[in-house]
Amino acid sequence: MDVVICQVQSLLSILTSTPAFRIPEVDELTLCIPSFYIFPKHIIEFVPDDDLAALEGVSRELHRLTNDPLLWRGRCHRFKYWENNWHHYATGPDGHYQALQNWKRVFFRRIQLDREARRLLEKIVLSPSKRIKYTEKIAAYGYDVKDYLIEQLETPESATDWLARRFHASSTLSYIHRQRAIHSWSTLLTTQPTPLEIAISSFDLFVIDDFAFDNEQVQCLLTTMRDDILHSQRDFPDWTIQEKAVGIVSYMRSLGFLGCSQERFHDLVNCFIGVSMRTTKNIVFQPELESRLEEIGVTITPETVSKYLHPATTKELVLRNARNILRNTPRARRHLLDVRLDPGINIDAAEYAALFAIALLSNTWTTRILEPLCRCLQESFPLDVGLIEKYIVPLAGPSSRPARLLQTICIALRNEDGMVRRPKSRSLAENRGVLFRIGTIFKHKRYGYQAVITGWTVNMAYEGLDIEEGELQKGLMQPFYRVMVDDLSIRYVAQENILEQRPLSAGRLSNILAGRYFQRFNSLDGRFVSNMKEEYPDD
Amino acid sequence: MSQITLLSSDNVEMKVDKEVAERSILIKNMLEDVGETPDQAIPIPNVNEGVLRKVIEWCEHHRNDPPPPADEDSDSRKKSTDIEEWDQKFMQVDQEMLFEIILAANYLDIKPLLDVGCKTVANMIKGKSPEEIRKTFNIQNDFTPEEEDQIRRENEWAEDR
Repeated sequence: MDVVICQVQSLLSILTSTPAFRIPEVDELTLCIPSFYIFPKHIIEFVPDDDLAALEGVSRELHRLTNDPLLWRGRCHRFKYWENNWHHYATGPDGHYQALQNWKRVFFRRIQLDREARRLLEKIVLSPSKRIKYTEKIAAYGYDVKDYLIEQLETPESATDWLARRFHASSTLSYIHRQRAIHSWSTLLTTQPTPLEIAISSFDLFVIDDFAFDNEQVQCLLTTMRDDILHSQRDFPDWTIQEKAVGIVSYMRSLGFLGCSQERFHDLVNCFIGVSMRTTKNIVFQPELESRLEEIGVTITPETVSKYLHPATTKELVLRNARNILRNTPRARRHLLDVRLDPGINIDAAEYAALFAIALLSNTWTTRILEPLCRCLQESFPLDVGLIEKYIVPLAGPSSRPARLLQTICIALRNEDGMVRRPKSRSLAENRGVLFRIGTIFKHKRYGYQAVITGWTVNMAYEGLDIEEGELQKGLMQPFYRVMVDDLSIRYVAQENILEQRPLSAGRLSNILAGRYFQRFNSLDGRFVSNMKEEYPDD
Repeated sequence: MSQITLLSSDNVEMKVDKEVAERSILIKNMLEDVGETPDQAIPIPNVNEGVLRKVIEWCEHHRNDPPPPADEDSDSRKKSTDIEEWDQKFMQVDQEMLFEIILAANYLDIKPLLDVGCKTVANMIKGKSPEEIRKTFNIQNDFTPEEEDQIRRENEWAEDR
């Protein structure tokens, strides 16, 4: 008991005698000092960026405090994604790295890029013309604008154009990811090839819609696993290849990874290392390679083994993966409705990734590659004109047939991008018969599905679309509507089949893809608000 | 619920629930070191009765708050100046009191209260010109006209919004 009292007393005496272990004694004088001179750093940390400039102009002391490099470094940490490492940003005009001095400059640069991206995204959301051009401009900043775009993906539903904003932020981010993937593959043609794990997981960049996940994270995951193995098995480097393989397999099993069964072997997801590491946890091993060789009629000798089973280069592995994707996509399309098979893989994007990789790395120009590549570009990825022009066209040779074909498509897409859309005015006599507006939700009279109108035409025959005339009472002599169905497919529907609805909620139609056509859903009106005023000014 | 007694710098004793007093990491650590509830009053030098009552009022209201998140990541998050409504009302005091609360929160090691105090000051800066900031906090302008001019030029980035 005495001991306790002694402790209390000694502690109390410490408390009373040296309160200054945190701050100096308060005396009458400090009471006159403005409060933020007492804890300037702590307060300044909370001052918003835009107000720091004013604070800096208040007094010499505040000027000094607001120019503290650590303050700016702290603010730089707010940004998660950087196109280059920090050395790049902190290098002065003379090319010398200026250590900590330049955090403020680095931060300014990022703020300026965010503003520039905001300005460009604004234009993309507002008007359909020059979307390719503006997307390329934003994407030129790469990961330096990724934080901003990710923030835009979360645009609150209170914003009047939230759907459009999220959609275009997402499509710009996808472009930046594809650009990154293609760049990493292009290094495989140089003397400084990208590491295998980056090149292989670049396929994931085409299909992942969770933008926080990318090939660098796959690399991180794999590096962590490697370090884990090396740490637990000190003599691992001395093992034979077979021992290493077995060691790695048992390690991965301990993490819950499973070998891939024969019937799941051709699942598309297995071609995407990042997705499969996160979802199915299947890993694919080529079983019994030598017996496979024998099956296809190769006699096993040391020569044939070294010829066919030599360690593959990164480029070969990327090509192999690309071919596997092409082989597996038809099957994936057949099983489209069975989502269990291929969790979240966009098949068009998967195919496009494979075609791009093959065109870039194999430099073979068969129609089996070229034709679907052109179709992908025109139908699903028109934004990628610049990537084709930069990476594919020069490889094909300037005046070769493939190059000319690709260039023609690129020029056409760019012309269309530059064009102002011809407005479809409802005051024209020919358009009087169009009863339903853009954004109207309806039920299909015959098939019963719910869909939303995203376009209309009074000249279906002219548009040359494939419609089964015989099924229609009024044939082609009626307005037709381009619609987005609640399974997110695009179809054309005749006016006679439309049963207008005014639902309180847009249900499954309220998908980010609706942002391609609409600003938002208006629940008071039961319709989507059009974002296509240029083409349909009266809708 | 065990209670302890705090003694303000101007010798006023205040009884307070141990749990409430332990919002102060300083007091919490001390009580832990001692191992049992002391029966004599714990002196809190530097903090007078008025301020100590304010601080205890805050601790009472926040007695069930979850512990603040680990500090290591605090740099990377954008510092928000949002303050919850009760705290806003609580901080509607004159500048001298505000400043004393900040000092006491720092001394007693009550990080959330320190943050609220500093946010309140930061909010007083929001949207103000240098001259308005000087007026609000009674700060002397010690720049030469040339220096002022240069700073204005350096800061043109901030105006382009």
